[in-house]
Parts: sequence; C-alpha cells; structure tokens
Amino acid sequence: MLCKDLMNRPVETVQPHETVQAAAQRMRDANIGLLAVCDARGRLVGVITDRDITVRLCAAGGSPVDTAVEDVMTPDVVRCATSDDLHVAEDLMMRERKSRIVVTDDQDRLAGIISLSDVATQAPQEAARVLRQVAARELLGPHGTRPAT
Amino acid sequence: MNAGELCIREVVTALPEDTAESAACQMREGHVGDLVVVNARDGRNLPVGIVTDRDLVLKVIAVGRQPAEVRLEQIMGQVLVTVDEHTEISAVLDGMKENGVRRMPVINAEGGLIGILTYDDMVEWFAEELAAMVTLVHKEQRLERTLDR
Repeated sequence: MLCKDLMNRPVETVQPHETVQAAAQRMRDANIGLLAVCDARGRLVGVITDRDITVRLCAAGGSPVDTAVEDVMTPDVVRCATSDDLHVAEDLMMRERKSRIVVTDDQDRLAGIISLSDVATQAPQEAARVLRQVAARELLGPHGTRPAT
Repeated sequence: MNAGELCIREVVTALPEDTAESAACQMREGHVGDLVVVNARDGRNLPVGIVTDRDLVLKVIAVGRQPAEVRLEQIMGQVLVTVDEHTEISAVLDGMKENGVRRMPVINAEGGLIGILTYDDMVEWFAEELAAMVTLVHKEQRLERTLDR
C-alpha cells in the first residue's frame, strides 16, 4: 500500500500571516489538531498544532489576536511522498515520534495527511508498535522537547 | 490489571484559580498535553477537572482571550469522571466509552488523586497482551508439530 492510497484529503490549511486565533477557530470548526501552513502560492511552509499554540503562544504570554501563525508554527515539516510505501510513513512516525505525517506530491505540494489512526485501521498489529513509539514522545527527549520560544 | 497499576503516577496538577498561561507553562515543562485540576484538602489532592492543550486552543485562543486572564475553573469540563484505583481495566474502558472521555484521574478510597489513565496507555497494554497471546499460540503450535512427528 502506498501513502497516496491511505492519506486523507483535502487537508485544512492556514496562511502564515493569519492570526493564531483564526488558526484555532479553523481547528475548532474542523475538529482537528493540525493545520498545514501554505503560502499564497500553495507551497507548504510549516504545520501548526494544538501543542505549538499551547507551548509557543499560551506559555509565552502571547496574544492570539496579535500573533501570526508563522511565529508559532513548526517550520520543519516531517513529510513523505505520495509514491512512498506506507512503511515510510510508519517509520517516520516512530522515528520522529509524531502521530501525523504530511504527504507531498512530486512537486513538493501538499497532497494529504496520514495519521496513526489511519495506520491502525489498515494494520492493527503494526499500529500498536508505532503507537508505543509515538506515545513515548511526551516522556523522552529530544523530540518531545520543543523550543520554548 | 487494574487502574492503579497501569496509571501514570507522575501527573501534573494545577489549582482552579491558576491561569491558562501558567497551565500552558506546566504542560511545556512537564512535556504533557493535559493536567488535572485539584483542590488541596487535608493533605490530599481532590481532582475537580482536567484541562488539555486542546481546551486551551478552543476555549481561550479561538475566542481571542488572553491566556493570562483566563482561570482554569472557567474552561475545565463541568463533569469530571474519575476511576477508583482498584477498577479492572476492562471496566475502565467501558467507563470511557460511556462517558466519551479519553483520560481519567485515578483516585484512592479517600478520593485523593494518585495518577492518570489515558486511552492510549490502555491500547498499548491491550496490544502487548495480544502480542503475548499470539506468541503463546505460535509456541504451542510448534510444540504440537514436534510431538506429531
């Protein structure tokens, strides 16, 4: 199975200059915890999650109406390609301790997203192994430790 | 296996009058995505609510409020579902399904907080049990084949 066969799309997006409040509203309305950040030309420039907003805005005393998405997003996006085997996404989840992996096409444009729960429906046994690794992120560094900016 | 044996004992706690900003700082420093709100009474921590990073995003940031100006008692859930430390894991799972929650504070007979149990912790435990059973079946099958010869 390839990543493009299992990925979810469309992916909810937000632009880098929008406010964090706008991003939070989109997360609420779509009932999701991650948005892809794309510039005006549609290029993927980052992702923003519940955790990013909590750690980099709430904890830092920032204002949700005066802070831009690009100031709290994670610019280094863990990604795989649409043509990659699903195992590539699973390995990335374990190595990077992330429960969601962004999928891009051969021109590096945003194509979809694969989450741990997608893997779980496809391969329950495999999912348990991945989950164990991913869940450890809150207890282990360095991936669980994010910049305190 | 019961709730007290499986739960995470290093649970991060906060008081109802603490701010969303200080809760976010605790989540950052403790590398966790949730904390238990408690009332301290007679040397015990009595759980009164749970606040997650998602609560901060939806109930503070999405509505454009300043994290330093929101108290946890204003955003934590109205009803807290706790579980006694002696409850069997299968019963905990039923309780989570019934109440639609993914995490429960674990309490002792006096109502004091001793830890937190999450859905992910339980999935991991069930997965390990299942893997152990599969290994046992394989061993038995090998033994049978050996004896048949």
